[in-house]
Amino acid sequence: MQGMLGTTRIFGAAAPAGARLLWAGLGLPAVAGVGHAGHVHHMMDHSVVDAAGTAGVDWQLYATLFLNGLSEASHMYLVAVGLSLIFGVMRVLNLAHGALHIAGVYVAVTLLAWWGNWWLALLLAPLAVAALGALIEVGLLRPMYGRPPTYVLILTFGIVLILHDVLKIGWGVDYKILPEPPALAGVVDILGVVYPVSYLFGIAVAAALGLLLWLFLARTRPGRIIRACAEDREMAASLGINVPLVYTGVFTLGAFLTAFGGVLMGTIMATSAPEALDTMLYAFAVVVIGGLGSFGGAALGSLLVGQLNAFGLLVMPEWNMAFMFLAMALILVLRPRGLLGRGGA
Amino acid sequence: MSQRNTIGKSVTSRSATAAHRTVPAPGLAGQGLTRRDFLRRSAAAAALLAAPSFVYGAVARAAAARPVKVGVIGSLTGAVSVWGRVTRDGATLAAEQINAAGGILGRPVELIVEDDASAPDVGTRRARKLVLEDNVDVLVGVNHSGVLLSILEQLPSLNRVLIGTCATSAEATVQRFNKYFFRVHSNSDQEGMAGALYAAQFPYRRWSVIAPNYAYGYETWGSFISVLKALRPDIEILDVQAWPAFGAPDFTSHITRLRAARPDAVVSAMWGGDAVNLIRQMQRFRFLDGIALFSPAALALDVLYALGEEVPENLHSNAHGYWFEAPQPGREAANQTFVQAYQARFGEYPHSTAHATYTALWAFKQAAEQAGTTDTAHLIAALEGLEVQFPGYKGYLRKEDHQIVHDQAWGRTVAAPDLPFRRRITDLRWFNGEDITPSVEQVLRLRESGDRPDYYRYIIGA
Repeated sequence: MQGMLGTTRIFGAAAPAGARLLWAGLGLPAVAGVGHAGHVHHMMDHSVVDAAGTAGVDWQLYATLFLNGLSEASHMYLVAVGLSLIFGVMRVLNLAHGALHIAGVYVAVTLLAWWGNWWLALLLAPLAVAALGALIEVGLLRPMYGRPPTYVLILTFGIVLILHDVLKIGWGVDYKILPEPPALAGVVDILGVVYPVSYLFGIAVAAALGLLLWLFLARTRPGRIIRACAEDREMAASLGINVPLVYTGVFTLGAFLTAFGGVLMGTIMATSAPEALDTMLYAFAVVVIGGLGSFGGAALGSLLVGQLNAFGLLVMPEWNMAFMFLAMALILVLRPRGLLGRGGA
Repeated sequence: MSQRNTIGKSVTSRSATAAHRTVPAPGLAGQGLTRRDFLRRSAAAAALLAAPSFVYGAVARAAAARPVKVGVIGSLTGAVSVWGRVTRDGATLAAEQINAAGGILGRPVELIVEDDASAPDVGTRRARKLVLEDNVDVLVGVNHSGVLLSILEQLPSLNRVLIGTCATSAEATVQRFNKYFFRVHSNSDQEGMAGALYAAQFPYRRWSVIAPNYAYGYETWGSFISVLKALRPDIEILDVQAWPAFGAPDFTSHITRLRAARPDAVVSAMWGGDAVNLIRQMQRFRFLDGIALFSPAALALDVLYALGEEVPENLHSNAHGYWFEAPQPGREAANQTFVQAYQARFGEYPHSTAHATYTALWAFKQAAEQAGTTDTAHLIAALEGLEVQFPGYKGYLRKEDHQIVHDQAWGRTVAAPDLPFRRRITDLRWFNGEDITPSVEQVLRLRESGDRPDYYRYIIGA
């Protein structure tokens, strides 16, 4: 059958036997004429490629991998810090945290469809998810506080399932990606290390948010109140602190941060609702390594896991994710409360 | 709880009595899936919503003969969910058209769609459920090669034919051949051979790969690079290769490591959401400035719809076997009719998998009517050697391995302001179906020995 659009039959009628021989690895008769056919696009200058030294390449490879690790850490941090904060203050292991992360992407997709402004979506989508978080805390979690912790755990898992289906019904099963804002397009070239601006922006924003959060917790009165509730909630309550309000505030803040991380991540990679579970898995690894309930632990855990994943690739390219879980297992055996965790489990 | 839709007999047919007018499937496209999944978790709603579809089914049975049931299996959730959706859509369009034309053996076609979630164990359970509970006459679809290889084992005990419409693992028709499996989609041997013949014309010398670490990734790269190496002994196959897990969202460090090895060209076997992520991340890191990319599935329509202008020009692909604008000569009218009908029904251009699944249902009709029954043994006999009329090309199901043989084309991307995704594949070079398919003797030899193909030696570290 002759093709269209400048068809070339590689093997003429007499040649198919030659083609078949290829499959047996017996050599290449009857195919000598292949090389000259057809169009050739962007020719490569091999002498240039081969002439490049490898010493510089290694240095650039390590620097890029380090930045990749930081970028991954920044995503994980924004999820893990809320997870850890909520656990630290409320003793609630919020299994819906990954679903709220993904919900940020989905809400941003809609906001972008309405207004087309990425920056607005970056701000408003997390706010919308934060409002949802407040509703969840007040409407669903609060009635559960007197009950055994497993009740709350099961409840948050129920929220995962409901959110998952709501996202699928409302937005469909297709993968979602957010367009890159023009201001963040392009790359930065630092001594030959070529790095996308949007990734650097994500790293910078996560670092800034982490710093702000630390200042807030360490230096401000609401921050001290939150820490007081985390230390001893009965004592805090007896001192006249409105503990339920603190809980709502912390849960809302956690929802905001995780959704904010979602919008940043959705700008870099495609995502879909089922990835909420993977997100949860990584966030757990991070907080287990760093110390569940520890604010600094979420940061340290994220940085460690990010770099393990990035550089693990050089050691075991196909199984680089194993390092993260190995580290988690090791920590659980040697120091169950995590690197920066305090007190018993 | 499964979705069950009886697609009505033709309402346009004049001879159809009122009693023949069953309700056309309202939920198969778009909303059907989500509704089904929602039902799965809300039993009360399920009871209410399932009632009407039960009534439709009853009407259909009263009005016509027992329907011919087709079980459709696709990855409707997860990283490649769009592939599951287009599998269902292709089957839906064919079922509607077949019913409008009088059904199969005079009986209406009923589709039952199941989600395998790209997981082999789930796929196996769904296949068993479709046969044992729903008693379907035939199975079609399957997107993921891992799922395919797992379902394959079940077919003899289920005594049903599966017509594969997407997953390309050659192992399924070579080493692990079983007579119940037919495939109306090109396999990894054919895609690799055609890709290598196409790639051989370019001057690229240093080659590497990024592919998911399971059958589809291994076979796509292996068949491609072994043929290319035979055609072009001067090429260098790099030790630095990237084999991430299927569905892993972040490839930046793999990309970084690959680039440091300075390949001239990279083969990608990423597909679905993975391909979207890969191309986007490669673009952000300027990976494709100076490194050529050859990929069968990375330029399937789902990726173009997702990324649009973010897809660079000069990427090389066969659009996973079917480019909707370029039928084989002689198929222009049939292809145009199909593309228009698909667009009218779903509001988008047909994906290669929709094209193959659509064809699978028509091939099933053809074979069942030739055999005069949907009985499995007779169906197998009728499918063997069957001439299959795809909208875009013609092919035949080879008797010995049940693999479709058809011509396929590779080309490159260019800007296309007239298309919704602003890219098209052009400069297509067609390759003769028989030239890109291993001979029957080779297939039989590998089947008997059960050996892994020789090309596994080119897979480093996976």
